[in-house]
Order: sequence, then structure tokens, then C-alpha cells
Amino acid sequence: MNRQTLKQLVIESYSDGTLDAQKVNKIADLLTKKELQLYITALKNWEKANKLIIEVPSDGGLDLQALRDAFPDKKIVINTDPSLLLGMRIQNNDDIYEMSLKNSLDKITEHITEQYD
Amino acid sequence: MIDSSDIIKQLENRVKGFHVDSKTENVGLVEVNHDGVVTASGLSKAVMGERVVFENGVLGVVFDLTEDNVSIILLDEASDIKEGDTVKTTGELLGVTVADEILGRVVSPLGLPLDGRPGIKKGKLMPLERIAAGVVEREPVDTPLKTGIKSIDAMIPIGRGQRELIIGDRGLGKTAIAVDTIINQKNVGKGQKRVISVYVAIGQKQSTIAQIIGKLKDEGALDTTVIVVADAADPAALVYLAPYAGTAIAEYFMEKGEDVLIIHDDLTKQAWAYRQISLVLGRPAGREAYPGDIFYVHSRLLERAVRLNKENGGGSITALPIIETQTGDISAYIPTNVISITDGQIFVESDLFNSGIRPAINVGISVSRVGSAAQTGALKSVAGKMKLELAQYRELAAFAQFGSELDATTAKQLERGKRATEMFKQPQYHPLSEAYQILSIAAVTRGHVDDIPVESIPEFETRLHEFAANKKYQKVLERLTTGEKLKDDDLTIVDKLIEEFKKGFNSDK
Repeated sequence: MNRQTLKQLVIESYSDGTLDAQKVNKIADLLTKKELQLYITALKNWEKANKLIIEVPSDGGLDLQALRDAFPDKKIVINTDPSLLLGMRIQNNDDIYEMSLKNSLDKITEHITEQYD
Repeated sequence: MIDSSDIIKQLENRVKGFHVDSKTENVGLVEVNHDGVVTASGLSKAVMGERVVFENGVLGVVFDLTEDNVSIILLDEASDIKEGDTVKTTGELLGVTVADEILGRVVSPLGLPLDGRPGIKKGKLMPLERIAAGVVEREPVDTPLKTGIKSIDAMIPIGRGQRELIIGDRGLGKTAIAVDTIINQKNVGKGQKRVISVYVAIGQKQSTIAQIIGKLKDEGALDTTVIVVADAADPAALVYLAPYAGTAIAEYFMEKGEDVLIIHDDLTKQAWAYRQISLVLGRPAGREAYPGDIFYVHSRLLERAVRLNKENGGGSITALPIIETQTGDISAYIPTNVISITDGQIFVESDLFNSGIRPAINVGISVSRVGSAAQTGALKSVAGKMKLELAQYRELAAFAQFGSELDATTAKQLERGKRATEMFKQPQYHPLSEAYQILSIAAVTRGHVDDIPVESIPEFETRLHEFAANKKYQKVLERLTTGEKLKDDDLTIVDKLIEEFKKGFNSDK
């Protein structure tokens, strides 16, 4: 199975932007064990690539519309992480944007430790 | 009491240059950890040779990029990395921080201190991988790098900026030659630039390394030496990177116009480490299971040994790589590769070693392709034909074993050869200055020892040096140290000195 076919199978596994269990099972039945492994990895990567994970310290106060405008093709998932204190962390595939107070405080600690060492 | 404004100023200085910006990271997930080689998904912005850091602080280097995955070699303990761990890029190529304070230090290939002293934090970040200086920046080799070993300085001279391979079986004194050369650098003559040494211990036993460090310390040579250590217990990646780190440190000093000597001890073990990494990565194996680019691994490393011209600072890096052979087989893959890369080789042989000739250098097959241009005129005046004569002697000696009668000329040549061989013996850790080397060699080539029994030669030499050290002969030694070609008058003075000594030596006998 080449990369092109694999990509086509992944695209076909979705209905209206969501993974379709029926289609996935149908495709899986046609694949060998090795091909199935490749298919699973490709699905995972596709899911990851199309998901935008937003981490915020608490619920509320988030301008979701602005985020949807900035990342129009992404499925937005919001998680809460109180340790961030303020701001947010955005994970877009393998890129992470740190815009939290925790990051700023960590940076200050790092800088002062370096100065004193 | 400190003024309040001073306190505020100090605080301000502390945070000077500090900016709290949002951070962008490119991350990946560990999929497989296989013998120190990690395969990770993600890391789409990683570049070859980039330093990456795992969530537990372990460092790695990007070594292979494919469409879906990135292969990373680990620079630390591999067992802590497991599937699903995150890894992020740092945006920095692998480098080592170097400052003048690194002299006299023992560091890892990443520049971390191994001698219990504080690390070098402020300095220049020198990249481990770098393109060697081009032809326009270079100058021919013309300055000698004295090893202090008579047989090398007289017959296989090395120049600053040269790459001279030391090759031979284990336990025959390859490292001894390298260490003696480092020790001898404290005897740099008047008007000559000092030589900084970098000793790279690759995949060696820690006990051996400790012994070498101790010896350099005892001899007072450690202050101008940097020791880079990737011992046998270190990950293969560190062993593979050690020679590049050593060269990066050498380049720092070369850029400052200094002459640097770098010893790679030894490249065979580096080739083993690279083979191990390549096989784990699944790269196709070639001859002796080495990957196809093993030649390039060594050639791009040794090409960085260079003599720069005046416009580029005039510094140099002289490389003495060491290769260990198995039962003297120099036609194996790695030895032939490195022989073809370097500008000559010093071949040490077990037969010579076992017959008591130490250093066990086989003069017949040892060569220095560019060093003769760097040999001083003084040494050339007395040792010019020495290599040829000694090679002829070895041939004749082989035939003479059959016991046939010899004509007078051949017999004389044989006797002279025996004495020359005896004179070229030299104990370990006793490098000689050029003036004493010239005296020893002149005693042989000018026929002064023809009537001295072969077994008395070592004593003759030792006492000759003691005799010449007398204040009376200070000027003669100073003249020999200048390195200028010896005229007939100078040679007559040398002859006179030896003859005068010989009278006393013979009467004592």
C-alpha cells in the first residue's frame, strides 16, 4: 500500500468531518495486519493534524470565535490546566504556542538560576 | 552600607536583556527507543544535526529525517526514554562552548566538565560539524611540529597543519608517541609560537585516560592541553561525536591565530561507534558492515586540520589520528581509508617492539608527505640521508642473516646501521630538544660512534647530552636550536664537541 492510497483511505474514513465507525470497520476488514498498522498510524496522525488543543487555566472567558477564525479547518478541543495561572497554551499538530503566566515565571526562574550559577 | 539606588541598579542589571515572550515549540512523540537510537513522530521543523531535548532532560541529536519520522541519537542514558515521551527541538545545532579557560580541563564531547570543576558557561559556541577551510584560506605546511622523538623528527618530520596517521597493533606504543608529542610542546624554541594540544580519548578505558591525564599533569603539559573524553562506557553517539568536539575546540584556538595539535585516540573505535549507530538505524551495511559514508566521516573530520594563511590569522591544526590494526593488517577497510586521507603515516610494528626497538617505528613504510618541507635546516644537515640509509641497513641485515661473507663497504654499512638503530631508541616520556637530537644523530652519521660497541650506545648518548649541557657549550646548543642550516664551520664545532666528549668516555671505559 503506497502513501497515496493510505491517504485516500484516511480521507474516505470521515463523514462530515467526523470519523465514521462503519466506514472504518469496512476498510479495516479489507486490510492485512501490516496494512492495518499503517492505517491506524495514519488515522492517528490525521486526527492530530486536524485537531487544535487549547489549554486554559479555567473555563470561560475564551473568545472561541476568534480561535475558529484563526484556525478555520481545525477541530477545537478545550482542556483546563490550572497550573497555567493565566493565559493559554495552544497545540497545533506538533507546534506548541506557550502564552501563559506559568511560562513567564518559569523563564524568570531559569534566567535568575543561570545568573547565579 | 549600599545605597538603595545601587541595590535597584543591581536588580536592574540582573534582569537586563531578559524578555518574557511567548514560547513556540516544535514537539514530537517517541515511538521506538532502540539501543540509544530513538524514532519519533512529529518534529516537522527539525533539521539535521539539531539538538533536541526529551521531557526528562536527556539530550539527543537529529540523525535521520524521513517523511513521517525523525531518528535521534541519544547523548545520555537511553533506558529512561520510553514510548510516548515528548521530545522538542531547540533550534540549535550541536556545539560546544569554548573559552580560554578550557585549557587544562577534562571535558565531555558536549563541553561538560569531567574534572569536578565548574563548567564553562561564558564562551563561544563552536559547532561540532563545520565545513573545512577552503583552498584560498590555506597556506602550505612550512613550520615544524617537533615531536621530541628522534626517529620521527629526523626521518618522518611533521609540519604544523599536517595530518599524520599513527597506525599499528594494540600495545605497541601509539598513544606513547602522541603523549610524548604533547609533552614536547613545552620545549618550543625561542621565537616559535606555542602549540596548544587537544587530546581526544575515544572509547578508551577510564583507567588508561586517568593515567594519561596524570602523566601530562606530572610533566607540566596539562596547562596547555584540553582533554576530551568519551570513554568505553559512554553512549555510541558520544563516542562518534568526540573527535568532532575536539576539532571544534581546536578551531576556537586556531581562529585566535594559535597553533593547535589534536590527537584522535583512536578513530577505529569511532568507526565502530558509527557502525553501531548506522546498523541500528537500518542503513545499508557495506564492507566489514561499515556504512557507505564511513570514508566521509573521517575525511570531513581530518580535512579540518589546516594551516591558515596570514590574512586568516595564521593559525593551524595539526592532526595525529591513531588507528589500531589487527595483526598488522593495514589493508583492512578503516586503515586504508585513513591512510589515503592523511598526509603520511607512522607505522609501529610488533616485531620491532618485541626486539626491543622502541619506539617501534618501521622507517621503511612510514612516510611524511608534506613534513620534509617543514624540517629545520639544522636537522636536515645531519639527518638528510638517514631514512634511506636505515632502510638499506634493514634490507642488508635481512640478507646478512644467511651468514655469507661480506665486503668491507657492506660490513661497514651494517655496523653503522646497528648503531643508528640503537641511537634511535628512546625511552617513553623523554622527548628530546632539537639540539640534543642533532648531537645524537650527528654522532652516528658523522661516524663518531663507529668504534663504540653497540651495547654502549645508550650510555654514550646519555653522557654526551650531560657533557653538552655544560655551560662551556651553551653557544653550540643555542646555535643548533636556531634550526638554521648547519654550515661546515658549525659541523666542525659539533664534531669537535663529540670528539672531546669521546676522549673522556673512552678513558673512563
